[in-house]
Amino acid sequence: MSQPKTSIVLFGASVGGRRGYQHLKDRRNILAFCDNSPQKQGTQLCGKPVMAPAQAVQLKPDEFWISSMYFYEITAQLIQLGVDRKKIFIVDPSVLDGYRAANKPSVSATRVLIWGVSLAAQRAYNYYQSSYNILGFISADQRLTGLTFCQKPIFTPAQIATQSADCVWMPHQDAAQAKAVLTNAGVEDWRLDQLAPEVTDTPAEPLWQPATGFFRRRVVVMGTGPLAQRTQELTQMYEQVICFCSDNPTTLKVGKVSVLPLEQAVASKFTKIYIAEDTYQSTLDRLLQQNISGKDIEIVDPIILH
Amino acid sequence: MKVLHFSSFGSVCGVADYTDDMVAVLEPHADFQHHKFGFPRHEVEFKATEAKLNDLFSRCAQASQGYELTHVQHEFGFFVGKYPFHRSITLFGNFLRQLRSERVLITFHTGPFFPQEVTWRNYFEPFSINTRAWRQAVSQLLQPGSRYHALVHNDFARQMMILAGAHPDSITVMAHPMKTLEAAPADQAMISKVRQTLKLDSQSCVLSTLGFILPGKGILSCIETLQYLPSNYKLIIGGGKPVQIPDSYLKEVQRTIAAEKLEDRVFITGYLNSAQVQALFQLADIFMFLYSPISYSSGAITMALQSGKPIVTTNIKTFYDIQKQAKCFQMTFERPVQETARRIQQLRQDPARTAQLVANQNRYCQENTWPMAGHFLNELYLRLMNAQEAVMA
Repeated sequence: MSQPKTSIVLFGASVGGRRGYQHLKDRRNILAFCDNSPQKQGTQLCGKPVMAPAQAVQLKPDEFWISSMYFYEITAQLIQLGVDRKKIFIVDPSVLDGYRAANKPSVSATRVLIWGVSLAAQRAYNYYQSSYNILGFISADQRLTGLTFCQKPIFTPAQIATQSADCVWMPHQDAAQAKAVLTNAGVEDWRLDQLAPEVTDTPAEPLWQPATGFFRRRVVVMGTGPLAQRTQELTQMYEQVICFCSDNPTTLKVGKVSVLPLEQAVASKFTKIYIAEDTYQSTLDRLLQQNISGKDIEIVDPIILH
Repeated sequence: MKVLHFSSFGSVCGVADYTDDMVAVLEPHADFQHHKFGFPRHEVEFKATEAKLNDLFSRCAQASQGYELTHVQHEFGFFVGKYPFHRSITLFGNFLRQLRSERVLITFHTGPFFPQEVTWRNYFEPFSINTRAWRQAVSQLLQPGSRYHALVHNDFARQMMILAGAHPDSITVMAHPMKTLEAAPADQAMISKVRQTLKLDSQSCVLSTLGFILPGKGILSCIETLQYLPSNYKLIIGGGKPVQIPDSYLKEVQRTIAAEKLEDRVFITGYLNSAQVQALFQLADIFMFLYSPISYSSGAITMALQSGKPIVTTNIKTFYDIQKQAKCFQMTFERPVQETARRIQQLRQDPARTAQLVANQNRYCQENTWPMAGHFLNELYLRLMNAQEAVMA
């Protein structure tokens, strides 16, 4: 029989609290959150009640975990409330750190450029954007200069020098090509680093967050295959697929939605385009060349099929 | 001319050691006489009331009467008592204003981290409460023509100071000099104990951290990395927790080691004296500094740089400052730890790269010795005094 999990209360019901919850939920029995903000008390976070610290002490949890940068003050507060200091723990700041940068890219973080405009580059962006200051992407394709991808600008290798980046990261798939181009552009060898396959090949979770709001966003899905249909399924709560897109359609409709050629699809009124095709690169290039802002484009990760 | 040094002299504390080393190399310079004012850090930190701390500051301010220069060593912990953190910033600012010397130089061992703070308040206020306190209490003093000047250890800290409102001309950067290691024979008892506990043999590869066991220092990442390495890789956690900090993080480290059944692969040394540091240098094959992105400076890395062993660090701004100059680290990502494990194995299998990194480390150490820092500081003192005379004239 497995041992019952240690019961805990998380102090801090902000985004940091949410991260602390994700970090600890498998190892601890999280009873509740507590927070000094009266606005948060009485609400719920991650399905757990948020209460005042004094009320949380009454729950008599085995441990208190502080998921806030104000851990000095909070430790003192809990001790004052009669909590044994041996029962007070701090969530590792590296876990909390993401939330600060995720809200506002940290000015103090390492300044990074990512090679390529690709799914691997997008995965790297999603993986590291919370803890690094990602300045943009690099593409040797001059036609993409000045456009954006993942809401960040695309630079040519020649523009790197002006960005004062600490380093340039390369997906391992493109490392040899990227290194040759970047070295040629004068980037010192020690600034180049290769991204791990765990980041670029196997993301741990689907990469987009559902949109919030009172109405569904109108989206275009590039592709008609299983990936495109799964995209529609996953987003239908928040987003309305106004058309699918294919240059060589084998069908005129997917479900009740029309299939249109690219030029016609992008002429419609949309707020986002998903590229749901196995070979996304040429479609991505074509969209960017149509002057569609990269911030409105998202490459759908095939992981959603599994 | 006379200089009063304000620091945590006599405490078990990296800043105290730093200041002792600093005064020792400044004394041979004939331009200034140096005197020390000790601050009982561990009696104050988290315990002092405002009244007690103000009393201490007043005594120091009185002592600074008649000195041309006061050199204050700042660490946030020195000023945190039984009151909110932002209050400690205000108290520090009041202390600086009370000092009676002609000039005041402040060494900030940790830059202000507030400009990047985002709290729920930021939706309504442009800055966190700490940033506002810092701007009023400290940044106002670090302006052109003022008698105050700041010294920081890297460009990154300087950038943070500027973001928090200080004037760029009021900040000087001096690389953290290599910590002076006492010449001591390696502690053989510790070597035997570690060898026995970790069952070390000729095939073993010993990884080691060095420095306090604190959140942000990446200790848990080191343990996690070990799980992706073959069983002949062992880890020494070289250091203990600071006496004044609750032991919750240390407990989490111990609990993780137990939960992952790594007791025969991980050894925690506790606080290290000079002989034990030498023992650690003998035992370790690779040092690891997997600091998280919020870590700002590391005195411990200046010790590891003298170990003659390669160092793996995370690719954070602080370490990039050194890497830019010395190219002496094998850098890695904080996550995923599998990548760190791979890079450690590659380094282990590449003696030429290891030798190159160590050679670069040695060169960096020679370029950043305490005597050189003493010369730099003496010049800075003279420059500050001359500037002050010019202002007064």
